[in-house]
Amino acid sequence: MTIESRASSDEKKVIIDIRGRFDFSQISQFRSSYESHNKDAEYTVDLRQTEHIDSSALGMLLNMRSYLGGDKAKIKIVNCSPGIMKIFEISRFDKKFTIS
Amino acid sequence: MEILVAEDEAYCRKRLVMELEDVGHVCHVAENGAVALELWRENKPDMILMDLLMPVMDGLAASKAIKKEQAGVHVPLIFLTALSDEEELAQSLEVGDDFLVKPINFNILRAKIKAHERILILNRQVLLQNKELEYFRSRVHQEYDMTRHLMEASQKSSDRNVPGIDTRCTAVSFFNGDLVLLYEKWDGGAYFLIGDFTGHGLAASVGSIPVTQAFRTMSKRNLSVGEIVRELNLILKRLLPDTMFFCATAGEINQARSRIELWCGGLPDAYLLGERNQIHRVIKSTHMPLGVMEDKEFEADTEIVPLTEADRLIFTTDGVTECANAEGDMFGEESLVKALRHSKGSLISTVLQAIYEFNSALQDDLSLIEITCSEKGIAPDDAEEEISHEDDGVIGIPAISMQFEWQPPQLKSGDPLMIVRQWLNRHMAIRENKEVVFMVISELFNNALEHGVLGLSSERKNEDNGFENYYQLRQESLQSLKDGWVRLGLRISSRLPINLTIEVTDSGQGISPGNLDLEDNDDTFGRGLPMVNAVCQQLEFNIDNWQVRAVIDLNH
Repeated sequence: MTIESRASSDEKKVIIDIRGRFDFSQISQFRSSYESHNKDAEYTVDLRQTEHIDSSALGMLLNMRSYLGGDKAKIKIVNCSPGIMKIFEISRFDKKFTIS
Repeated sequence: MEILVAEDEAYCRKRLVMELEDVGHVCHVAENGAVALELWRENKPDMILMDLLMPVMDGLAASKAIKKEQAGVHVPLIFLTALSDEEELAQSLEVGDDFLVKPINFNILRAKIKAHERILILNRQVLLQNKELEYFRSRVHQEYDMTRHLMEASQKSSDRNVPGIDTRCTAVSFFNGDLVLLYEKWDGGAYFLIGDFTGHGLAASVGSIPVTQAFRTMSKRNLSVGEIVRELNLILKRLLPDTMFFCATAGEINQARSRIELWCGGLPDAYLLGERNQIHRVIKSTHMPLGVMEDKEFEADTEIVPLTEADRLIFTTDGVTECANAEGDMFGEESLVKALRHSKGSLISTVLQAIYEFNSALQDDLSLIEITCSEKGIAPDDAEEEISHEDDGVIGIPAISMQFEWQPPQLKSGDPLMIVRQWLNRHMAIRENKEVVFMVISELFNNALEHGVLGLSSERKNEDNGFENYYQLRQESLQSLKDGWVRLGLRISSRLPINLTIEVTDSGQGISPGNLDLEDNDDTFGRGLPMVNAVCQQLEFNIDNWQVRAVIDLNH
């Protein structure tokens, strides 16, 4: 599995790990990784093992954000490599997501 | 046996030799002490019969000389004497092992020889066993040294001097099965592991070798704490006997020291201390130790604890709470908490001092980790290793050009760009910018494939569920594709500033530039080319031959 999600026992926190490529090839896997959990949970997308992303990944993250309530969604993107961070900054994703 | 017979009186000497040879002994014969000493040196007999009163050198003097030279080897020495002075007889036994009063009773002589032969055999056995023991002892010692070297070498791969993280694991505690590992991440974060194998001594610590190796490898690969402990559990379950397991806490802390992820299996409580040493949180073990559960039952869920600058954390093995004093009382959690709350300065020194006061003999069997959140990790330096170059800007790596062409069978494969990433990853200048380079290639390639070859329109993404429908349609069109190709040309310059030129053409109508401005909206599409435009030095569209060319500066 290249995308794995796990929730804390109270279902209030969900961590989604993404390995290898993060692009449209993961589209349905990625969607089910958050649709299978509570909408109001705190989501953490862990990119520690993500090797590359493209604009379709950004689209998928935006889909996730609107599914979870838009501005009310609690999504953190963590463990970005400097290169991925740069891509998020260029696309101004740092304004929409908490990125570290 | 070979027996040295020293007797000055000829008749008595002959009688003795006859009697002894009769029962199968071999005799060396001397008529005075000096000859006896010579013969002893030459023949090293098993036993000595020595007359006390002899000319030239008497029996006592000869015997003293022999005893001095035989050093450690037992040779039974029986004095023959006509003396009846008790004092002198007693004195002779300080040198010899026995005496026989003349005239000699041969029955008694034979019996005494037999008795001393038994002692001699026993003595030789003990000597042999001692030798064997000595051999084994030195072998065990050698093996111990070797194992120790191996384990110490394997432990050296643990990092030291990570900002804000202080560890302690003495050699003694290490050899009793304690393990403390630390690994600094490239981004200034850190992984750590503290644990304690069941049992004591060398046997308890052998498990630390695979754990150390695996922990280092997995840390390097940037795996999550959950994945690391799952793998360690698998390794230990396979390696360790059922009676042995590894109580451990594994964690990862970020560079800003604002977040820690923990997995705790079987160690005593750890503590999170805030300002004025207030205990903000007791971190309890929530899992079974490593090496107990089968993989399918194993729980790898971790706890994430947010941290502030004022926070400090302390982790210990049970050597700390369970250490006992001379009265048999244990140091205990209460004393630990009390010491921590009154700590001034380092928590580790505080705990060690408290334990020293409790029992000064137990300093050496303790393992601890302290994390001080006010000390941040070292963030990666932007100006890392630079590619060496001559003054005129020519670098040591040649210019590289590559051409790729995908026909339908290759376009349909799961990840057509994998081969490109694999080639490019080998180039140092690319590797440092790989996410951006791969993003640009991926955007240009997918644009050429989707719009040029497959003729899809991004407008579709605008509809309800358009984003997903679009990719569904892409998949279907791709599967039925019969003709068409995408070509990718790459060129890496050999001159500073190093840049990468990417050219993409396709069999269809290529890419149209459209709007290249990045807009801050929530649309799920339309970001690709504007992103490429933002990171590239040049982006040109040549509509005449359906080609797009992008140049990326690889120097930052």
